[in-house]
Amino acid sequence: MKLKIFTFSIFLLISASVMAVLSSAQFQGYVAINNVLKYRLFQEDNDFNFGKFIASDDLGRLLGFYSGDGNSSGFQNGNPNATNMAIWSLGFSSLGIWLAHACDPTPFEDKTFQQLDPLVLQSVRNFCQWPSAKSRNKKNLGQLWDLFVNYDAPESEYVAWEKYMLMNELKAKSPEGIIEEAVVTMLLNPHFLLRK
Amino acid sequence: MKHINNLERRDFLKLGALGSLSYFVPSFLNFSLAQNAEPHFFLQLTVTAGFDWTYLFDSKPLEMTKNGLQSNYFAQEPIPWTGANGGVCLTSPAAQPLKPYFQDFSVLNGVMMSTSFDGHIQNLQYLYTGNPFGGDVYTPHFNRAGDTYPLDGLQSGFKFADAYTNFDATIPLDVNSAKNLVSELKKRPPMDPSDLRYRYLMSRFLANGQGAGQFSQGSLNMAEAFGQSPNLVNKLRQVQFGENTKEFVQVASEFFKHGIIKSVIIEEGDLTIDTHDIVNAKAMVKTSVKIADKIAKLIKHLKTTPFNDHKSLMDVTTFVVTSEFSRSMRQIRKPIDDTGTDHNQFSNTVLVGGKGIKTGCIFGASDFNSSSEELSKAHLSLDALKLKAFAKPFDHRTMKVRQDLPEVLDVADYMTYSHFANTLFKLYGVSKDHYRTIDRNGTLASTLDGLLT
Repeated sequence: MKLKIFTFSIFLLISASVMAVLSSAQFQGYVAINNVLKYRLFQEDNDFNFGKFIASDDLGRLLGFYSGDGNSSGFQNGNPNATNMAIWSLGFSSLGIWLAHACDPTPFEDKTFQQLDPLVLQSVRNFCQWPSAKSRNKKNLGQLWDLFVNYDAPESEYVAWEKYMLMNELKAKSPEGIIEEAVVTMLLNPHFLLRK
Repeated sequence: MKHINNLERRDFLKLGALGSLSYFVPSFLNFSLAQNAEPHFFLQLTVTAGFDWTYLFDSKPLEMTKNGLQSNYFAQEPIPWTGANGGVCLTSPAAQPLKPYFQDFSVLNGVMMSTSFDGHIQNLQYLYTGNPFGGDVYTPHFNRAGDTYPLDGLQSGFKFADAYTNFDATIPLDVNSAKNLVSELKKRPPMDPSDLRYRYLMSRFLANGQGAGQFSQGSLNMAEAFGQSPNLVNKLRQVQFGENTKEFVQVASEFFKHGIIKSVIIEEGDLTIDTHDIVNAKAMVKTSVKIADKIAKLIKHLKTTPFNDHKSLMDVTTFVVTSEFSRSMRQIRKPIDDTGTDHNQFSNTVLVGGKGIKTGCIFGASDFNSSSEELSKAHLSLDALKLKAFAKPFDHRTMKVRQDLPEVLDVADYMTYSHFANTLFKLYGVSKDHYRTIDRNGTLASTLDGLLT
């Protein structure tokens, strides 16, 4: 009986410590974010794979993923660490650079790129004349935010982002540079990445 | 996640308020603390699934096989090794290629694992955390506050256990992923904490970290992790992988050299060593040779890989080879020449060497070394069928095997993995707050000081 009580106490103790660790939001994970981007930015039946932008599909496992091998299962690597923050940053930067092909003088010959939702493509192209007023305005920023971040983040996040994007220091960016800047700073946001 | 402990949560909240007003984030959020002068890395090879150490460093006399007690498909008399400390163990033919490296490590036999549980997961979790149910893994504690390693460690494997509470900064990264990541990061400029984008992003993490809920804590965790990213990214950008970088241990070595990680755990689970079945039990004759070869290659790599102009990796690394447990001597109702083996958590083996370790020695022993040996009542209380070898009682102060036969089990009488883990904690200067206990009263497992130089 004493052994059972001891074992149960140990179980409760461990459960409590595990719960303490779990009491902070984890990343939604690689698959979830891949799906959000896939359905939000592209037409139906597209080939989008975020793994293409993070150097290796395998690295997606570091961004939070469900694993199971018959012995154990669970959500792994979902807590923020220096590595997964660097990989998210790298991935969104690569995605931004890739989207900036919207400003190419000739159509970008890439099957997945051609599967972009036309509205998304146009909203990106709106920045091809940066920093002219035709590109650098609140209407374009709002449209891009609504397509990418949608209702994931509260309005206060948009306000902060809009203020940032309109800072004078960013005027010197090229159109390609500002598109990359916009994508990284929109998506590397806790409201977009974390479970709520 | 050692660093967040250095800052009170309220400090983060204050910074969050600051962050919501300004993009200017204090530079100490980059956690660029002074690097401890002398590097001291840790590398562990865990042969998962329960390795039968009778096939390397805890063999039993052939007489026991002839008397139907100990399976031994080598069917050869084991070879005694004597350590510099006078300790003795019997070794199998598979261990002999390791003899030239004996001066580089010590053998710990009779290491007790979890006494109450004999499952893989339970004993792996006991090995790594001191508790069969999981908890804090010991290796992240080696990366102490004051070190500037952006990651606690690298891991390879970890198929069996996952109830770890402090493992977020110990990451799984295979060879190709590491190469690709480094290659991509080199195409980008260095990550600069004074950069406008960096400061904007940090300000959002901190601003969203002001609440009391899970989301806010997650956002604060992003802030902390992002604060460490420049250190990591800029060190990764310096890593040079060659065409010959094909093994995980080579990646780990590069990460050691560039100050990226403090520890590495490699779980070797490719070979079928969970030999409940007869076929794989008989194959141990070959499997043990492969395991010995892996150990030899690991030691050779550490000895021959320069850390800098003056030191090899071996000079700056402590290494450990072990398994979650060893195996039973035989199975019940099976002939001794046609039996598999089951789990034995009562007597494991640990190889340890490198920096700070007294090497070339043999410490501890298992019992049941002849068919006529009298076994302790403590042993028989947990193994009435006499299927398993049991650790012999151990004097932690003199590092000698005791010859008494305890009547009741008291883990304080034995060398447990918790004693060993606490010894590593002492070696790495880890706070006693993290030391493992050996009983429900919170008694700390003593350290094996005679193992340290």
